[in-house]
Amino acid sequence: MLSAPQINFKLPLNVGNLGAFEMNDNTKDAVRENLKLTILTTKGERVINDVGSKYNFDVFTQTKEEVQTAIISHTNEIINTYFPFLQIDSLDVFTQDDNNAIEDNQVYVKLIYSFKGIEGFSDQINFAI
Amino acid sequence: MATQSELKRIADIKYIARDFDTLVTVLKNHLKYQFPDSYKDFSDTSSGIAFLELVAYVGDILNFYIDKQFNELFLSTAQERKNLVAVAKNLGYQIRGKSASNAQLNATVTYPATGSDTANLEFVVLKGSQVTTSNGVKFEIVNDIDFSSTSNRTVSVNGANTTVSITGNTAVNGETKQILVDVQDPVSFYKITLPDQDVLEITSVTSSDSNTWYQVDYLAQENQYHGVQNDYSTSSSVPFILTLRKVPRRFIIEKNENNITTLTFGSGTISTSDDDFIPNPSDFLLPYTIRGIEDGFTIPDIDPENFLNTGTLGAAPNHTTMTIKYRTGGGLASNVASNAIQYFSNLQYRFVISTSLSASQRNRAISSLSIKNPYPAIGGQDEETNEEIRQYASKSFAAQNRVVTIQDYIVRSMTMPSQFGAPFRVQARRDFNSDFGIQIIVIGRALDGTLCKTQDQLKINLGNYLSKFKPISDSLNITDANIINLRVSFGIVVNTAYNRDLVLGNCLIMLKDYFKIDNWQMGESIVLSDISSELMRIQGVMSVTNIGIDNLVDIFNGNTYSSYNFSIAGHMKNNILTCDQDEIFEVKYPDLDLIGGIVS
Repeated sequence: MLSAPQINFKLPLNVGNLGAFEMNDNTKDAVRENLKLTILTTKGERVINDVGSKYNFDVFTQTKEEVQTAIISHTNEIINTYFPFLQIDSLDVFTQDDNNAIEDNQVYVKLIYSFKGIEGFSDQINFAI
Repeated sequence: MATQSELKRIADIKYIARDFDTLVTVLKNHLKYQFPDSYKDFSDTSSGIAFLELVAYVGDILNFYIDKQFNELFLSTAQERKNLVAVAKNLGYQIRGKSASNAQLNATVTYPATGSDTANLEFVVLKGSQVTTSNGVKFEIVNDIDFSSTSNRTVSVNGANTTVSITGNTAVNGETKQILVDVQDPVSFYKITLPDQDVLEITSVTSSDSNTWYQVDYLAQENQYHGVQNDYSTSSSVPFILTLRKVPRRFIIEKNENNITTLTFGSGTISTSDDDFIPNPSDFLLPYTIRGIEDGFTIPDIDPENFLNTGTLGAAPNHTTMTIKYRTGGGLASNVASNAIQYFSNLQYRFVISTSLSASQRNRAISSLSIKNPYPAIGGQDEETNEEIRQYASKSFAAQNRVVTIQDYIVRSMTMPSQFGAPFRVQARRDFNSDFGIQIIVIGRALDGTLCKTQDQLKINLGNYLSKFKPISDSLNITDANIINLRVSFGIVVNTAYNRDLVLGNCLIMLKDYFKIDNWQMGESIVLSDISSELMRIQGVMSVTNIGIDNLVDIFNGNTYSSYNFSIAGHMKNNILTCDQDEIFEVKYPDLDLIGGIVS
């Protein structure tokens, strides 16, 4: 018997203890999984459904400031469209100028968010584009 | 007994879900209902929904192709030309491809008015000669153009030249081509695909063993109509005698969606009698060894090829060389403007008095020949569009090439080619002397336009013609209709404000038109009140006092009438004069048999 309701799949897919896929069983992990998936999915990759991000277009922007502006804008768009129950606490975009560890032609994004109306329920994801 | 859990699992399968959105909704509901604790995230961003959408996508694609393929099965919904052609073929409609245009040509010879010789007019341009436009659109002359004949020939002298023209020569668009095909061992339903697109017609198919192969509508058709010159006394109205001939060597033509033509030959060998309409089933179904044994048998394998080895479907060519002549061309582009046809691209001719003409005389005559089309060539059409195939196939299916109803017999009789005789009116009904008999009643017209009985040869031709279309159980009895010659008299009161003679004359003109034989059919009644109404519509007629009808028979006042006696009183009821379906009313001499009077 399941110990707790299973919410969604944990990515990457792995075989779980119950013989099925490994699952997330709390809201925080489940939301994090969805946010990560949405950010890493480019618009058009999903069949018919238009869920996804536009970061791929942002990386072709010419200047660092423009890249940062575009990424912040599109991250806000993702949160507002697909995760309206979240609020962005901080969103930072780093380039090689900020940190030598970041590769050339790459930007690093650090997103801290929390659930609207629920204190102490915050989380963070970092991703590179 | 099924548990509650098992019932729950088989419940609520939505087989009507076919598109992406519906499938997603149904699958979500299914998960929510069947696995409430196993998966809870149904937001668009979750990975589970991404997988679910993939499944729905596959379902949508599969359903699309099922719908598409199902639609392609039917004439009204098929979109792909290949399928449309196939469905139309199943309904008995063979696409026709392009049609050729026709042109009327004037052939002209010009030569000096003086010092010339008769060689200019002593030749014939042979049919099949090819003429062309400056754009290369080719036409072939249908009949010989004979300058030695005065028929359709006009001669004019213009200054120093004499011009001789022959008008009304028909040319048809297209070009005759020929291929040779070596055939080895016989192959059932041997196919030859012609190398050209836009084949207009197959002109001839012959084989090197001196046999001619005939085109039929379908391979099971073992007889073909054949017109034989009528040398008997009836030849003026029936120039050809219609006969059926057996055509064991036959083929059908099929066009595919790309307008490529394929000839398909029969499946049998010519040594097998073509009279075997249906082979004896016992020769094929039961092995010889167990036939007649009472205690049963095992069902043998049935090889359909066994049935095809008879001559029923025609012969297959073998060990011969087939020569196929065909014409290509057609299309809208073949409708060329007037005077566009100007050149002979392949001139074939012969001299009528070739023995007495020198080579220079012949050359001079031929070099003076010119050709023109005074009117545009018309009639060329491109191949049918998909929509046209759809419409023509429906029509073809509705009209089916067979006669079943009375109306079918009437319509089919009227479609007999006119060279075999054309009845003026045809009626059909059950033959009361036969259980399965159909009585076809015909009537003809004499040269003066009056009704007359048809020639016996016409009835024979009609019987032969209908035999191809009728059910085998129907027997035909073709008879002539009985002609009822009438004299119609009437009396009118004329308004004094009108000229009496003029009003009476108008009444007679109206009745002449009313009784014009073109307006009458066999079995059609005469309603006296209709005649009264027509008379009352003439200006000046105040009243119709009486209408009288008499039957005129044999000789009356020196004129010859039908010998058929008809009781007017016996067929008049409620002022309606009726006749049977094998009878027809006729006012044979309207100038004499329509009599009007003015009542003072």
